[in-house]
Amino acid sequence: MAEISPEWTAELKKGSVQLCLLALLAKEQKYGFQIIRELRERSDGFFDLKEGTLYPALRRLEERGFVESRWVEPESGNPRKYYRITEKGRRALGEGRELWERLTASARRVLEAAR
Amino acid sequence: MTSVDAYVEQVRRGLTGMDAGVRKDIVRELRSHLVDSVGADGGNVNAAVASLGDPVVVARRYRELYGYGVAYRSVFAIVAGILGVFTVPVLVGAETYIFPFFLSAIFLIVVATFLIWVSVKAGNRAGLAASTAACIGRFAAFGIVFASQRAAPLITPDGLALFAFVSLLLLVIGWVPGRAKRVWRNRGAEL
Repeated sequence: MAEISPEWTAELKKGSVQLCLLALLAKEQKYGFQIIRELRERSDGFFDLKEGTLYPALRRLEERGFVESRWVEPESGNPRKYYRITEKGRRALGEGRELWERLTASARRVLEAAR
Repeated sequence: MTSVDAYVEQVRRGLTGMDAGVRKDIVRELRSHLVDSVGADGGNVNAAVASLGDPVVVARRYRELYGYGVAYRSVFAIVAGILGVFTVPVLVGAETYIFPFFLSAIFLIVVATFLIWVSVKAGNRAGLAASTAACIGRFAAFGIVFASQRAAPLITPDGLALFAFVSLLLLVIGWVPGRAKRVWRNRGAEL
């Protein structure tokens, strides 16, 4: 996508990244690399964010109490930090999902009317 | 040194002053990510490192979240407290001024600059802690003078008002810049 202003499109995208990260953790605990890969695959590369900025984003969710993390260290192989959604995170996800649906529906109506 | 080591080291350096445990955990997680990322990309280390993005930006994101650790914030407060002592112009001995007005004014400028720096760099709470320490330093200096009978006649109502005003000003200086920065940042919204 040709971008007239990268800041402008980045700002539009930003708000939804945290919600998507939380949604990806809804069913099972996952580690960072796995989350990043799934975010890329499921969004068809729409969230082309630098991977290094997704880790602080995950930790921001943790600071908010929406996820918790723990290290899993296999006998052999790569130790990984797993993130798991908390009860508070689940409620936040529900609230966020509802907000997101209203937001997109409202925005669509405005955009369509102005077409 | 591999490019993984170089990258991780650059991030680690960007996290100076953070709580040691948090810092270690961040580095460990990035290393773990790189192992997976390199493995998934057929051993292309440079591509894995590149897709993490600028290490300075990554470190800054962590800094926005965690700020400075207790140890660094304590050092900031101690430095501010010591500097604060010398911002009181009433440290006099016998008849001669050991600590004249102009010198205390210089210290006042130094401490104000330092407080702004702490507030911007480490956040408004660290800034407020440091400015509170500076005020404690000022009160300590004042208390010593007050306790020594000889200096007592030198304390005037105007002087007291100035003392209180400057102390309050320092508290504001410690808090406002960090707060302003945070409000400004949030307009752009972090990830």
